Amino acid sequence: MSERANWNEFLIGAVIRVIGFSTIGFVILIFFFLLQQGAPALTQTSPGEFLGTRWYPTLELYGMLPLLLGSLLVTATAIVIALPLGVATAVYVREVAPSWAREILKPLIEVLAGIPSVVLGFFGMTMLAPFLRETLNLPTGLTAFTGALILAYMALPTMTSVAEDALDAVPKSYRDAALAMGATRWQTIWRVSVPAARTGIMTAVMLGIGRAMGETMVVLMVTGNAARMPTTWNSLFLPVRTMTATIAAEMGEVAAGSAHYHVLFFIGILLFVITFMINLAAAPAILAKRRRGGLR
Amino acid sequence: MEKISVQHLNFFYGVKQVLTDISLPIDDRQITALIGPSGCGKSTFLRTLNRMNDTIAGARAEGQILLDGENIFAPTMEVTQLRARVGMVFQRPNPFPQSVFDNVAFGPRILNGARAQALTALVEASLRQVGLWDEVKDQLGQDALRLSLGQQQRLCLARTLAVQPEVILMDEPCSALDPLATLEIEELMRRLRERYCIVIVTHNMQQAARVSDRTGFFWLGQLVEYDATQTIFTRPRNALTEDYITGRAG
Repeated sequence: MSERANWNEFLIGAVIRVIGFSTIGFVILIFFFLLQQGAPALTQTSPGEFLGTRWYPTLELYGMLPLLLGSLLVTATAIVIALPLGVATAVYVREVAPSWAREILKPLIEVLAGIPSVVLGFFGMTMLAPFLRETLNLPTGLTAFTGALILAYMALPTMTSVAEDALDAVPKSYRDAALAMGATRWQTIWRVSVPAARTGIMTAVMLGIGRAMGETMVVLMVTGNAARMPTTWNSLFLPVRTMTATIAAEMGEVAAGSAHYHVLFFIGILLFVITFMINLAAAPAILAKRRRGGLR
Repeated sequence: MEKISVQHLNFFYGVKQVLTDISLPIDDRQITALIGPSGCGKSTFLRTLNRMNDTIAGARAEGQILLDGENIFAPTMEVTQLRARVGMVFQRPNPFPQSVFDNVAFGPRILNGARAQALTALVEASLRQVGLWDEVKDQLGQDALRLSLGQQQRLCLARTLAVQPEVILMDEPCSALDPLATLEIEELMRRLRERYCIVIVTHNMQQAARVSDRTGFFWLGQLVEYDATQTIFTRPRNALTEDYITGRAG
């Protein structure tokens, strides 16, 4: 009996271990696959070209700068919009809302994260883009700004709940100290609670950037997909094309094994590296938060 | 001179009454100690003096507390102004996770947006008052959480002093500190007594006997006895007080 129980223990342990390590294994395998498929791009074309400003695969011009800048422009704008909204929502939910409102709002915000991106993209195409075209008097409503608005909306739930957790972790004793000196509720929030939660809020920003950077469907549907250099400020209100949208749009039609095919994978490597760096940058903030959380 | 006059104070958390008919005068430029077993209401009482209990849902006070003759529960009393006049130091040192300078400058900045030059002088004066200036003057930009616990508690006291209060409430200010840091705080209290009205809640009866001028003994939400500290500790009138002080009750 006990021998059998031991055997069961061993089996269960082994299975769990294999499953656990296989996730890491898959990530490594995917990375190697990307490398293997993307690396030939470096020999089949001259890599110096990748820094060019023109992306015309049919003419064998693979300048990635417009795509890279397109991604950065859309992501940065999305975060600039989402950060104040996310922090304000988190402050409201954590510090201001009565508890019944908090109980309703928290799950609602989390539900927002579950809306499929294609639905949001559809909404962007049919509602937001025409609206922006008319109110801002643009040639087309499919612009970087349209994409940024929807991405901001998509990043909001994650950013809000992470920022809210960070505010929640701020010890009550800080608030008491501020109140006992005659601070008002707002002064306590903006000068004590929010600054004390800044590492967590930074984590929220990083996660938001990761989410916005990697999002494909929405940007494919609403940013217009013109691979032009966003060099001036009004580029924000003109079509752009992101790295993700390029891969999604072109991968289906490219001849497997061609230079274009490998270049698309190379863009994938770039995306992988960028998101990896962002996560790496967020790591100290997350670890610091954990350390502080352990202290008090 | 009487600074605070508490008159027939009753206090409730929801339906539970935690303080019953408390009346006592608290004198200016004196140290008043409040002693009693855990849960006797002494901390709750302390927190009514600057209305910190307002932040607790369902808390309710009856009766009057006069600060310089003015009822602190009156609708005309701004609670933020009251708390600026009646400062508080907490049980565990709770400096903000900001620099030493910003901690002390916090109060002046929020209350009147003090000018930079006046602020620097005020921070220095406050840190000198608690004897911390020489220890931290070269590291004002340092994170306050890096100081030792004793230094943190003195920093919290400096932060309170920078608001220029009239009354200082201390809620077991030494319970997280080692004996040396405790002595430093007690030494400070004796010095601050010259200028402020100090009310301290303490578990430690020796501490009450060492530093205070007057002592109040709380038991089950009532003020059993209130008198000169020497009288309380040598010839208490109430048998319960005597039992508690000699360790037979509590």
